[in-house]
Amino acid sequence: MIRFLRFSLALYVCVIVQTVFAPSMAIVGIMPDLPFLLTVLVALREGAAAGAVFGFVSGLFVDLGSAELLGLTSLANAVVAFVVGSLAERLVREARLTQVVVTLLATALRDQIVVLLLQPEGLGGSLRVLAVSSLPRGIYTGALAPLAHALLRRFAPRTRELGRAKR
Amino acid sequence: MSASPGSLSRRSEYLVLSLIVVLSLALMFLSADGKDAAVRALNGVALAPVQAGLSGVRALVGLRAENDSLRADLMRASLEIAALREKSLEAERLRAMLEFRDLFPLRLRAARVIARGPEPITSIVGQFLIDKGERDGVLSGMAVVRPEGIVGKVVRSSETYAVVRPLLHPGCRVSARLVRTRTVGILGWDNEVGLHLTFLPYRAEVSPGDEIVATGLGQVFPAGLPLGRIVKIENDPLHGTPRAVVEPALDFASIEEVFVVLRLPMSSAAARGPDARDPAPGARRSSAPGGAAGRAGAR
Repeated sequence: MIRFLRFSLALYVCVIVQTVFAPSMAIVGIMPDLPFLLTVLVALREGAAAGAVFGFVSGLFVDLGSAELLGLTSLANAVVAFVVGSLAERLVREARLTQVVVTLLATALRDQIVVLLLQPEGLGGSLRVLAVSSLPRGIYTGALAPLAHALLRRFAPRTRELGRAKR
Repeated sequence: MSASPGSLSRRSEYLVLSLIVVLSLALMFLSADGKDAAVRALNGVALAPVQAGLSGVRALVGLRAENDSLRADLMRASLEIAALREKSLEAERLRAMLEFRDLFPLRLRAARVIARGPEPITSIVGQFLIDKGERDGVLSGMAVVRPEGIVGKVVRSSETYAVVRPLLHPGCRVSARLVRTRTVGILGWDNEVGLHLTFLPYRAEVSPGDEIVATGLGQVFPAGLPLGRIVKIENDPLHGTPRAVVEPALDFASIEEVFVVLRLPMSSAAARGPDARDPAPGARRSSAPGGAAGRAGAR
């Protein structure tokens, strides 16, 4: 339970950092998506159901601060986190490459869901969003995944990790 | 919610997802109908105050960088203004020189002062180099002038540059005439007296404020061009004649552009005299021919 409280606190910090400091972190106008990065990492660590709930909450935070429909990002984040969590057991979750690639793909998938729900533009529109926005942001966000994962492990370690650390 | 993946049954996980999907869709419908104000108010409570506080901190942190950037911009702008002011002054000077060239019926070659020699012990102004030489027709002995008056003469000329000896030099003497009385004398430099007019007649009518122009005798300096203004009358102890201390017409320290008189037409000098016309802007018109001008000339 404490761990999930810590996740919530981390999410809150991520949302604040995203909304206040992300513009300063922009590279060629591309900003990382920190709340979503945390969602993917939580889904990888905690599984499908926990990931979906976390995705819903993180999406809700994003929606609250935007002018878009409330629930839109919540739904997209939850679905993607559920997919990531479902696949987690079959992945080498501790591998950095896994974290980077999963974050990149998850970002692309989440954006496609949002585009589909918000403005069905057909295949052309989706591909444009993918090329112009999703992939660059996914690459940037994915590049931060190993660092974020390491921080998350220290901040909210699982029982097994704690035991390993004590040994 | 479980602590580790796989601890919930697959069915439970799908149930959780279904609930979330339903909740999200409900929120979307509410939002589409504009009934999401209560939920959106959460933003004002949970996020906005912290965001506002941190934005202030970020702004403070960014203030120094912005300040530095603005200072750099200010410096750049100041330099640009200074450069533009310099260009403007240069354009003004060149315009005056163009007007002078149009008014003055001589073959002139415009030149820039490119270097100044050290100030010699015998003078307050050193010789200076101009960027025109023999290749441009500038030869030793030619007069160097400006719209305001006579500068000096070329004393050495090479292929691409020439050395000018200014009026304020012991080696430069000019036949000069008082505009008011037409009295002629020799203008020269002396380290003790400064610029002065000598060889004046015993009973010469000279008074402070009188303007002096070149006579044109000697075929070097154009007639009528200003040389200076008398500031004091003394007695020349060497010759026992009056001697007039002269304030030069030019500020020699700030000369940047000059004209070299390439060829002085016969008509513009002694033959015609300065009375024919008032060649230089600002120079007073002469009214009578020179008297004892024969002995005076440029050396």
